[in-house]
Amino acid sequence: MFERYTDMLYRLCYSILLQKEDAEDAVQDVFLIYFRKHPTFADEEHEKAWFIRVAVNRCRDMLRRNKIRAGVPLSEVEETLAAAGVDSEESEVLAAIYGLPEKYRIVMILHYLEEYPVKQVAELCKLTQSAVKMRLARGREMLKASLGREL
Amino acid sequence: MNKNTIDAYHKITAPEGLQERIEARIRAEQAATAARRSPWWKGVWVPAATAFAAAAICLAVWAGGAGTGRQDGENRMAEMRLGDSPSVQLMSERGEVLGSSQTVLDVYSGETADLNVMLVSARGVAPAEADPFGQETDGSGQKDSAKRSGVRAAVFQVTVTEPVTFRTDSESLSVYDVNEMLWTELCSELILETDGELCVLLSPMGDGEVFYIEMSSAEGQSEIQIVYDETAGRYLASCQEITGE
Repeated sequence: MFERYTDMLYRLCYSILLQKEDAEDAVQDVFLIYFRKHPTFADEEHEKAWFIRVAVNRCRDMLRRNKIRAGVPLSEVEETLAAAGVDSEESEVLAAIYGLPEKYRIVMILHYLEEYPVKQVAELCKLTQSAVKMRLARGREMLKASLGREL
Repeated sequence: MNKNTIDAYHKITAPEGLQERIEARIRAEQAATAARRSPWWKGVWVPAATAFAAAAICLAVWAGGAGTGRQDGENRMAEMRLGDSPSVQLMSERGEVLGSSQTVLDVYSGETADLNVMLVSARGVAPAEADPFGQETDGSGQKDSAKRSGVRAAVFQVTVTEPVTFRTDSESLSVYDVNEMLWTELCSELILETDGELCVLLSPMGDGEVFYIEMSSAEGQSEIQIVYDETAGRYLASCQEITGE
């Protein structure tokens, strides 16, 4: 369980919270919820979707409660990416994604980086598919403006 | 998004030792849970001091009816205390006050057919005998209200098919998604200040959603719990204020 999901959840939580310590807390909370609740799943995909959904919810909850991340310095994000071995060109792209407002960032990450189809992103985020598509389109526009090029 | 970006994203990994820290936290929690073994509701309600300490009337609110799916999955009954001035109001979108805990002895039906608010009370009934979410309070709920003598129990029963506003003097309001065991604070998005009170818009949620509303305050203890009861096909809400804990 831990091996299957820890990295994935940490990545996702970090992408939303942009702080390593917060991301770690969020991942811990997700596993605690899992062990408290002992949910049952139809299959592995269902299980993974549950973890992602709970992680996204937890991160949103932390953002709201703590009123954090109004502006995490880009340098901190770049440092983290560099420490992870991400080269500067890709670091620029990821940092641009991380710089998007939360509601665009989450769907962009789930769709383009975690590679979930729109339908599943919609389910994970409790949005309609058209809302997801709109956010993706808007997110792409913002990225293009930020990076000065299409991805 | 090109593959390099996706690969770069996947280079982010959890810090070393995270798994061990999680395991340690889980073990600690399991040990604490085993030691505590307290009634579920004691861990659920948020403690705080009440602004209405001189509670002349204590209202026992029973929650935990069908569909609540609380921690251990059992349907239990629990007693909670409500101060005499809990300042909780249920309002329509148009700003009409549809019910409040200060009118707890009333049975109130909203003007619209879609929005039906009932405040049902039963005094002097031991928790085990009360049936706040059962047949006695079903339908109009009128037979239960103030007609029982010695009212000490109150249950908000709310059918929500349009957004309603809960108003309280508490400082925060959260929705709890029982399915995912998560609190989501709504205030930051939905708060409206009116004479120092909070107004929170609560939209009806999807099929089978089970959620609670929690209100907490630095000084006061008051909470509304909203539970979507799948069996009843409606939202059930209870409010409480705790003193002395």
